[in-house]
Amino acid sequence: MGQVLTVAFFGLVALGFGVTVFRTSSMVRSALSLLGAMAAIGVMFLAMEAEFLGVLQLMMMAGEMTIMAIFMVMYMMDPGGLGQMEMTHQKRLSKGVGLTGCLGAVALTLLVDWGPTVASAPPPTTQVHDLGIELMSRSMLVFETAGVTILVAMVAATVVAIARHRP
Amino acid sequence: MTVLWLVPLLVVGTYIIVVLEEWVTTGRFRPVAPVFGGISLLGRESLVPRLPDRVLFEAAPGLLLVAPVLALAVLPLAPGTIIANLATGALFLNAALAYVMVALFMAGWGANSVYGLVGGWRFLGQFVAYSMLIVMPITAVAMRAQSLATTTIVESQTSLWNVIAQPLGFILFWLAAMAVCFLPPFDLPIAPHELAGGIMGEYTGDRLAILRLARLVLILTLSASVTIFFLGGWLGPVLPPWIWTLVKTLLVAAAMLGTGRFVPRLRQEQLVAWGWQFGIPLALTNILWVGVTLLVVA
Amino acid sequence: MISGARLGIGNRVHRFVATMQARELAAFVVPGIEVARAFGLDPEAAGLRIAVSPRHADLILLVGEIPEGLAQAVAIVYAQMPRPRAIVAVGTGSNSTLPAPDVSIALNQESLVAGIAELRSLVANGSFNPDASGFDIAETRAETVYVCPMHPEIVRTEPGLCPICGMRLVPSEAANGDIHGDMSATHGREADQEAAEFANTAYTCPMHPEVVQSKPGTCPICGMTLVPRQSTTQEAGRAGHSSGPTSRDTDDNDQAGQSAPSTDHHLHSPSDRSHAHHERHDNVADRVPHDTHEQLTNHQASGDQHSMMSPDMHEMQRDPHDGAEGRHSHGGTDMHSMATMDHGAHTGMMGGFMSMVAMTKGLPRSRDGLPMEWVEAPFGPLFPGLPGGLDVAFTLDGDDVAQVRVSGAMMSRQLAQTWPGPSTTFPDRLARLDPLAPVAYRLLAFYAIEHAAGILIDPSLARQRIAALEWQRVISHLNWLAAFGAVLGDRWIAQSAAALHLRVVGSSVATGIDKFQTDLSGFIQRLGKTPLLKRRLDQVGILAEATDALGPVARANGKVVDARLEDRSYRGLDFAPVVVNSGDAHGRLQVRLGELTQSLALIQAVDVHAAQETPPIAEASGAGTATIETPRGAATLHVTLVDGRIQEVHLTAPSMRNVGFVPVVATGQEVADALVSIASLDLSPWELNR
Repeated sequence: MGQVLTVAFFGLVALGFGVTVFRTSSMVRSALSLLGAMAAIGVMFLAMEAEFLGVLQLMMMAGEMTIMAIFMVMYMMDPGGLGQMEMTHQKRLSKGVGLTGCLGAVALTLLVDWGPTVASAPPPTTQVHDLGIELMSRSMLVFETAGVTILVAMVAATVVAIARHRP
Repeated sequence: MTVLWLVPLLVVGTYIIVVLEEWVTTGRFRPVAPVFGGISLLGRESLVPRLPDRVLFEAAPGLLLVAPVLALAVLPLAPGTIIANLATGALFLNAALAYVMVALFMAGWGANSVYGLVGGWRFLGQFVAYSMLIVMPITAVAMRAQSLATTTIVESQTSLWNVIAQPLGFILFWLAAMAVCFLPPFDLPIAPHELAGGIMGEYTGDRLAILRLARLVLILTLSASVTIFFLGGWLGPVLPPWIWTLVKTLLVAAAMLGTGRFVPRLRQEQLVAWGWQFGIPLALTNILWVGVTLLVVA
Repeated sequence: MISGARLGIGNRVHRFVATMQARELAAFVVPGIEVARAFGLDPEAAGLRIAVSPRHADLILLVGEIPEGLAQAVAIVYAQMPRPRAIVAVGTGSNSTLPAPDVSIALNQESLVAGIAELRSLVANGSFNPDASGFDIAETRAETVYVCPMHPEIVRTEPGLCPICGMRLVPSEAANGDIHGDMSATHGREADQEAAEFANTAYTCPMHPEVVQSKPGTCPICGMTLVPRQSTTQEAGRAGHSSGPTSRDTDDNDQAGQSAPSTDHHLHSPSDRSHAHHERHDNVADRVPHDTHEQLTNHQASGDQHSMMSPDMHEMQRDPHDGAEGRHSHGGTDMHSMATMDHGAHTGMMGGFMSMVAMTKGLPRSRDGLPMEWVEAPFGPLFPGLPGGLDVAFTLDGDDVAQVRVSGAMMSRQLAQTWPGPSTTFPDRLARLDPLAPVAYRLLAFYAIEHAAGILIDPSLARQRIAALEWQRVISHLNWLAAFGAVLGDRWIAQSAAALHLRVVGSSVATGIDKFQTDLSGFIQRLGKTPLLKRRLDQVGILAEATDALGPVARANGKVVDARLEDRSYRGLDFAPVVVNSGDAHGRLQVRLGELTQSLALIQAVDVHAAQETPPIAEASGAGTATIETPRGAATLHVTLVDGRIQEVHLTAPSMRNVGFVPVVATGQEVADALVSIASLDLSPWELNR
C-alpha cells in the first residue's frame, strides 16, 4: 500500500514538474523543473524496487539538468524569463505526439499482463549482482562500444570547440 | 524506528563540528558558540535581494540541507542501525550528493548577484573536477566488498581497512570529499576575499542559518562516508560500534577542517585540469590495482 | 536603542536573543582591515569576528579618517547590513551619511576592547525596539520601470506592451529615477510618434511575419500565439525575426566565411549591403537615431544580467569617456567598432531569438575561449579583497575580466590645502597622507626641508633614519602580506603575518629585534615551503614591461630601480636592491619577502641605540627636493620654504604610477587571478588622491 501511494504521489509530482517546464518562461526554472520531474521518476523507480535504475536516474539527471541550465544561461538571450516571451513552437504537432504517446503508455500499462514479470523480478541485491554479471558477460561488447563512443565524442567535441575559437 | 537516533546525532555532530571549525580557524575554543551563533542568527532580519528568482532563492538552502541528510540515510552507524539499507547504497550516496551542486547553482542564480553567480559557475567547474573522483574510488571499494550496500562494504574491511588496502583511492576520495563540501582550499564558491561570500553572500537571517547548517551536515556526511568506505566504519576493539563510527567521523572532519588552511586556494582551471589529467588516470590505476589484488589474493 | 535596531517589542524573547547577539559580533571594517592593522588595532583580540560581506556583519567599524568621497559607499554598505546593526567609530569624526555612532572610541587597542564591551551591553538592551526605523538613502530607493527587452529606449512606469514590437515590458531597476527622466523625454516621444503613425493594429506571429490577421489567434504554421504588431514595423522587424530560428543554423556556416542572412549584419559593420533585409534595417535605424542610445544609463544593478545585453554595450561605450584616473584596457578592441556593432545589434533585434553566440559575435574572446555576456560588476571601494578605498569595476565576461576601470577618486581628503604652513609641523601633516606608511612620509618631509634649508645632518642621525625607514618597510610589507594571504585563501599566511605585524606595529626599532628576526625568518622559510604557492602565483598578473613602475613592482620585473641606491647614507651598508626577474605575482612576493629579510639585516648593521632626535629646523628659505624609497616605491617631494614656512609642495607618490598597471595586470584573467594580481601590486589608495 505504501508502495502504491508513493508511486502515485511521485507520479503526480513528476506530472506537475513536467507541466511547469513549459509554463514558465524562465529558462533556468524550466531546466530545473525538468530535473524535478526526472528526480520524481527516479524516486518512483526506487519505490518500485528497481534500485539501480532509480539511483542512476537521480544521479545522472542532477548533473545533466544543471549543466543544461547553465548552457541555457550561456546561449540564450533571456534566461531569467523576464521578457515572458512565448517560447513554445509547433503546438499542434506536440499535442498530437503527446496524446499518442500517452495513449500508448496507458495501453501498455493496462493491456499487458504484468503478473509473471513482477513475480520473477529479483530483489535489489540480486538485481545488482545480476546486472554486473550481465554487463561483464553478455552485454560487454555493447557497453564497451557505447562507452568508447561516448569518450570519443567528448574528446572530439572539446577539440572542435577549442579549434573554433582560436583567434 | 532508526530515524529517531538520526536527529540527535546530527545535532550533536554538527555542534561538535562548529566548535571544531572555530577552534581551527581562530584558535579560540568556545563550546557555547553554536548556541549563541544560531540563536543570534535567527534573530536577524532575513533580507531578500532585488529581483531574485524567488523560488530558487528560497529553495536552495532547503535543498542543500536535504541532500546530505538523504545521503546520511544510507550510511550505517552500527551493524543493523541504518535508516535505509539500500542494495545500491554507495551509489545512492553519490546521487544524493549530486544535488549539492544543484542547490549551489540555485543559490547563486536565485540571488541575482554577480558574486553569487560567479560562485555558482565555479562550483559547476568544481563539480566537473570532482565528480569522477568521488565515484571511482567507490567503485574500487565496491569491488572489494562484492556489493554496493554500505553495511557489506564495512564488513568487507574486517580483515584490513581500505585505507591500507587501497591508499590511492583513499587519498583521491578524501580530496574529492573536501571539494564536495567546498572546504578550503576548495572553497571556490564561497571565496571569502574574492567574491565577498560568493554563494552565501546574499543570504541573511534564518535562510543563512539553514545554509550554514546544511554546510555542516554536508561536512558530517562526507566525513561519515570516508569513515564507512575507507576507515572501517564501526570496526574497532573495545568500544561499542556506534562510538567508533562517531569518533572516526569526527576525527576525519577535524582533519579536513584543519589541513586546508595551509594551502592557497586552487585556481579554477588548475582544479579542473588536475582533476581530469591526474585524478582520473590515478583513479583508474586504483581500480586496476584493486582488481589485480583481488584476483591474486582471492 | 542602537542605531540600527530591529523593529520589535523588546519582550523577554527579544531580550534573550539580543543577549545572544551581543556575544556574537561580526564586524565589517571600513575602509579596510589593513588600515585597522596599520593603526595597531586587532579586532579579533577584542572579541569580534571579521565579516567579508556586509550582509554577514553585525556592526560597521569605522577606523581612522574616512574620506568624504567614501561616505556614500559607507552608507550603501550600512544599508546592506541586516538589522540589528550598530556603528562603531574608532578615531574618526562623525560621518555625514550615517546615523550617529553607537560607540565612539579613540584609536588604540585598549579603547577598542573597552568600546566593544560597551557595545555589547548596548546591543543586549537595544537590539529590538518598537521605535526602530529604517535607513533610507537615495541609492537604496529604486523605481521599477518597465522596459522592452528588444527596445531599451521604451520605458514606462506601468507594465504593458511595447508599442514597437508588442512584447511584454520587463520590470527593471532604475536608481533615483534619472533613467525615467531621460527616457521619456527623448525615446518615449520617438516611440509614441511611431505608434501614432500606424493606425492599424494587426496580429502576427513573431516567427512568421507573413502571417497577419486582424484578430488574435494562433499561427497556422507554428501554432504560436499571435501578438499585436504595428503592420509597417513588422516588415522592418522581419530581419530581426528571421534571425531567430536561423541564427543557430548560420552559426555553423560562420566558420566557412559565409555571411549569414541576418545575424552578421547586426553585429558587424552595417556597411554590408548584400541582403534585402538591410534596407529595412536602415529605415529603422533612421527612425531611432543612434546617439539617443548614449543616454541610456546602466539599468543593471550589480547583478541583473538577466536583462538585455545592450546596456552592457553602452557601458563599454561610455568607458573611454570616463576621464579621471585609471587607464582603460581595450583588450585589443577598437571602441569604434564596438559602437557600430552596438548600433547594428541594437536596432536589429526586433524580436525572435538571438543566441548568446550571435550576441557576443564581435567581442574579443576571453582567455578561456568561452563567449559570455558582459556584465559590469563593482569590486570596490570597500571590497574585502582589495585595498580599502580603491574603486575598481570589472566588466566580466563569464568569470573572466574583460575590462577594468580603476580610480582613487573617492579618497580625496583635500590634504594638499593643509600642507603649506609652519615647517616644524609639516612632517606630521605630510604623514597623514598614508596611514599605511606614515613614517616614510615623515622622513621624506624632513629630508626635503633640510635640503631646502641647506642643513646637513649628522651621520648618526642619518643612520637612525635609515633604521626607521627600514622598520617602516618591514611593518608595511607584513601588513601587505597579511592581506595578500587572505586574498590567496591561505589562512595560515594571513594569520601568521598579521600576528607578526601586530607585534611590531606599535614599537620602535630598538626593542626586541633579535627574537623578532628569528621568528620572521622562520615564517618566511615556512612560507617558501607552502605547497602549491608557486603554482598559484606563477604567470598570474604578468607585467610584460614595467616602464615607469616603481618599487617592488619594478624590481620584480628585473629593473634595478631603487631610490636607496642614490642615498649616500646607504653606501657604507653594502646595500643591493632585491631584484627578481619574473614579472608576475610570484616575483613580487619574492621581492617583498627578500626586502623583509634585507631590511632587518640593514637595521642590525646600522646598530641603532639611541632614539632619534630631530635637529631644529631654522628659519630658512629655499627650495628643496628629496626622494626616498617608501615601501611601495620611490616618492619625491619638492618643497619651497619661505622664512620657515612651507609655501609650495609637489609630491609624487609611487601608487599613482603603479595604479596604471591595474588594467594591464587584471584584464583577461579570471576574477580570482585578477584580484590576486591587483593585490600583488601593493597599492595604497591613500596616495592616489589628496
